[in-house]
Amino acid sequence: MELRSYIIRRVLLLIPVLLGVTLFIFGITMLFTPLERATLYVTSIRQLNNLPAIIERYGLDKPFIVQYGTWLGQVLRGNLGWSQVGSMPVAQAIPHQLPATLEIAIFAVPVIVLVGIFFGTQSAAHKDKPLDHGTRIVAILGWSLPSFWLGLILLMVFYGLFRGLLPPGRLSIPMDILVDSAAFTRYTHMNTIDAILNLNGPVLLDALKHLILPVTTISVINMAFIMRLMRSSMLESLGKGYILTARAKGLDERVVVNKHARRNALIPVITVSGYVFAGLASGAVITETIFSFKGIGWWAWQAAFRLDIPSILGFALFSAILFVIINLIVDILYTRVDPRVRLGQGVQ
Amino acid sequence: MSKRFSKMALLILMGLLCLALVAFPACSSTGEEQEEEEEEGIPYKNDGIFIQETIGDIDSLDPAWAYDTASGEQIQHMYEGLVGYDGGNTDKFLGLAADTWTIAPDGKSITFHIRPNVKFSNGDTMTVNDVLYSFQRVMVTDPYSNGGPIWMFYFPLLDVYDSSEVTPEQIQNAVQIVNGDSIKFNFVRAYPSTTFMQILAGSWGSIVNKKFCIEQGDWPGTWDNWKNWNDPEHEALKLNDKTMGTGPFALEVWNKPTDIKLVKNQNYWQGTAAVPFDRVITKYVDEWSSRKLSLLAGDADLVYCPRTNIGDLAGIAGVQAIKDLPELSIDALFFNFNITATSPYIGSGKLDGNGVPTDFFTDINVRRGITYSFNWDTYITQAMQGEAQQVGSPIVQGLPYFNPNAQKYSYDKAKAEENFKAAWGGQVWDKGFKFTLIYNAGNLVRKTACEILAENLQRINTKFQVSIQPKVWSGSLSTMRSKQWAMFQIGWLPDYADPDNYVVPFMATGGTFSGPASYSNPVVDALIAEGATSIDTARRQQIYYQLQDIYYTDVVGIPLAQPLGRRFFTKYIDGFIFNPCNSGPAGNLLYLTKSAS
Repeated sequence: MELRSYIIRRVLLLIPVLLGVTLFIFGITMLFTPLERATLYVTSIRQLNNLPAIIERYGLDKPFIVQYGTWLGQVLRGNLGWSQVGSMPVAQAIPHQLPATLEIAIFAVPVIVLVGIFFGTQSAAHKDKPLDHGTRIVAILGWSLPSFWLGLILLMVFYGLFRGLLPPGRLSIPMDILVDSAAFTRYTHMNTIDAILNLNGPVLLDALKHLILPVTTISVINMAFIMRLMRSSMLESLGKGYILTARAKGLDERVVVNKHARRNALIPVITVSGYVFAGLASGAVITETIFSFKGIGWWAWQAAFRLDIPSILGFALFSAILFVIINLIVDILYTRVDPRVRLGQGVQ
Repeated sequence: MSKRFSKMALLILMGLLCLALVAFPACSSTGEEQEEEEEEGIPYKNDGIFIQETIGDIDSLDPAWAYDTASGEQIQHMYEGLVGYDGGNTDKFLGLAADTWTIAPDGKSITFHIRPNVKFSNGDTMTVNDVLYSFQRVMVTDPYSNGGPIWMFYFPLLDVYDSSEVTPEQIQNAVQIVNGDSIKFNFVRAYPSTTFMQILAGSWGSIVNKKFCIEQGDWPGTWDNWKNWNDPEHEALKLNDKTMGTGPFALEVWNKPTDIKLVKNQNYWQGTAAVPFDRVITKYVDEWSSRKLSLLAGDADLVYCPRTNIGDLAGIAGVQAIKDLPELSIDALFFNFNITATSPYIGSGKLDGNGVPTDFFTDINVRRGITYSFNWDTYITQAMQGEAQQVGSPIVQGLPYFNPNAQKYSYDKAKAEENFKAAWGGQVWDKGFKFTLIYNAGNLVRKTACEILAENLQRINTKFQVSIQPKVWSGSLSTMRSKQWAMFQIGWLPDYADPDNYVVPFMATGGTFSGPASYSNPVVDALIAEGATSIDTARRQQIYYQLQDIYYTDVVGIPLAQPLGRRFFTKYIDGFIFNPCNSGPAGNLLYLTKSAS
C-alpha cells in the first residue's frame, strides 16, 4: 500500500475512534445526576441556590443524545467549552499547556530511548556478566521507584540540600521576567527552543537547568522499562540462526550485535518508545506537579480532580488524536527498520 | 563486544547507584545535619520583588465576576475602591478613590466625594463618571446564573438579590452623580453604613476605567441593549484577563495557571514611593515540599503552608511565623431537619436501629445528645493542630456583636446519654440508629471531625452506628442541595465582616446552609431581617446576642471551631498587618517591606 493512501486511511479511522472515545467519556459523565453536574459550575458555595438555573441554562436535564449532540455540534464549530482549571476556553487551554509537557518529552524521550537501548544491548551481549547483573539491578530499581518519591528525593537533594542548585518551575525569577517582556519573543512557548531562536544563552542555560530534574525523574523510570525490553528482545535475536551464521563467518562481535541482532530487536522497542512519547506528551502528571512544571498532564489531572467535564472531554480528544498519530509514525518506522514489513500488510 | 564499552557502561551504572546512595541519607538528615543547614539561614534574593507561592488559582480578574479569594487578592492589588480597610480594622476605613463621605442621618444614603487627581495605571485621570460607570457596570453585568458577588449591592440598594427583574431606571436611581464630583448611593431603606463600607471595600467595589472597558467591548454605558451584557457566560467577560485600575500595581502578565506578575503602577496617586515593590509575583504551586524548599532557598518570600505541615517550618532559622491570627471563617456540622426520603445515607429510613427517619433531627433531644457527644478539645488538638478556638455560634470572634460570654456546649457523656434517653420517647436509646456522615474527599480536618463524633456516639451506645464516607466536593454539594445528607459539614468564609453575613447562611429560612438543612424559625427570620437593616448599634447588639442564644438553645447545628491562621514569611519581610477581610495571605502589600537588613 502506498504511504499516502495508508496515512489517509488511518486519519479517516480517527473519526470513529474520536466518536467512540467521546461517547464513552460523555456516557460516564452522564452517570452523575444533573444536580451533581450543575455543582461542577459552582465556584462558591453561595451559588448553591442557583443550581436549578444552572441546570436549565446548560440543559443538563435533557436526554443523553441531545446533550451529546449539542456538545458535538459545538466541537465541530471549534468550541470545546470553558476550562475552569485553565480559566480559558478548552480549545486554547490545550495548546497553552502543551509546550511545557512537550519540552519535557522532547528532552526525556531521546535519553530514555538511547540509554535504554544502549544498556539493554550491552546487558544482553554480556549476559550473566557483572554488567548484565548491574543493568538488571538498576532496571529493577528504576522501574520500582514511584515517580513521586524519586521526584521529591531529587528535589530535596538538588534544591534543598545543595541550596537551590536545580530549582523547580520552568525558569528562575529574572529569566521568567525577561521572557515575559517585550525583549523576548515567544515562538513556541518552549523555553529552550525560544531561547535558541532568540539567541539568548542565559535563558537557554536557565531553562536547561530547570529541565534536569523533571527529565531525570521521568527518564529513570521509563529507561528501566526500555532497558529490560531491549535486553529480552536482544537475547531472542542473539539466539537466532542468522546470528550463529554471522559469527561462523567470523564477523566482528560488535558488528554482529549492533548491526545484525540489534536491528531486529528494535521492533518491539520502537512500538513501546512510541507509546512512551505519547504518554509523556499527553502529560506526566506527578512530575509536572512536583516540579511545578505545569503542562497538559497537570491540567488533565486537575480537570479530573475537579470533574471539569469540558476539559476532560477536550483532553480525551487530544490524547486520542495523539495516540493515533504516534501509532501511525510507529507503523511507518517499522518499514524503515524491517524491510519485510509492508504498510497495512504486516510481515511478508 | 569490546571491554572498553562494557567498563564504561559499568561505571555509569555505578554512578547511578552512588547517586541513589547520596540521596537516601540526604533525605533522612539527622538532627545535627539539620542544625548545620539551619545555621546557614535563608539567602536574600530578588530585591524589590515580592514573591509568594500559594495554592489555588485565579478564576477571573473581572470585579463583577470574581468571588474567590485568589482572584479577589489580585484584583485588590491592581484596583482600588472608594474606601479600603484601615490597617487591621474591619470597621474603620481609609478613603481611596473617595476622600470624604457623608452618611445621611436617616441612614438611607451615603455620598462619597471623589478624590481629585487619581490616575489609572495607563495615566488616564479617574473621573466621577468612571466611578458611576464602575458601579453601574457591575450591576449590569451581575453574573447571577453562575453566582457572583453583586447581590451585595442589589440587596441594600434595591431589596433584591439579582438583576433578573430590575429595570435600568432602578439601577440609575440607586447610584447617582451629585454636585458633579460626588457619588451617592440610595438605599431602599436605612442600611448600616459600616456594613455598606465593608461591601465597598471588597474587590467587587473596584473602580474601573470606563474608556478602557468600552475599548475592550464591555458594556458601553448605554441602556438600550443593556441585557446583552447582563448575566454573561465566563468566556464573554471582557475584563476576565485585562485590568486597568488605580491600585498600586498593574498587570504585567497572567500566565494561567502558573503565575501572575504585577508591576508597580507608575501613576499611583499616593506616589510610587508608597509602593514597596517593583514587582509582585504570585506563583501557584500545588506541592508543599516544593513551596517549602522555595522559602528556604529564598526564592519565595511567603508560602502557603497547610495546617498539617506547620511543624515542618517550626524553628527553622530565617523563617518568620506569624501566628494566632483569628480568621473569620468557621466550620460547622448541620442537622438536616427534613431529609429526602430516598436518601441513601439514612439506612432503612426508620427508627428501627438500622436507619433514621427523615425527621429524625426535629427532636431537640437528638440534636442535643449528638452535640454533647462531640469533643472539641480532641478536634482542636488533633485536627486543627491546636490552632483554633471553640465558638458557640456562627458569629465568630472579631465580628461586631460577638458575645464573648455566649454559651457553648462541651463533650459530656452523661448529658448526651440523658438527652438520647429522652429522644423520640426513649426509642433512640433502645433501638439505636444508623446513618452516614459525608465529608468532602481529601479534607482531613473534616474527616477527623466525623471520626470523633462517630467514635464518641459508639462509646455512648453501641447501637449508635455512624459510618463515614468521603465524596468529591461537587458530589458533596449536590448531596447537600438535594437534602440527602443526614448531617453535613461545611465551612464559611465571609463576604464582609458583619454578623448578618453569617446568620443568614446559617440560620435564615432558605439560607445557604440552613436551606438545605430545612431549618426554619420565624423568630430568627424576624430578628435577621431587623438586624440587617437596623442602624441602631445598641439594637443590633441585642439582636445578634439573641441570635447567638437561639443558636445554642435551639441547637441549630454544631459550630466546630474558628481557625487561627498563620503566615510564613522569610525574615526579610516586615510590616505585615493582619486583616481578616483582606483576600490573600499577604494582606495589603502597601504595609510590607523587604530588605536584607
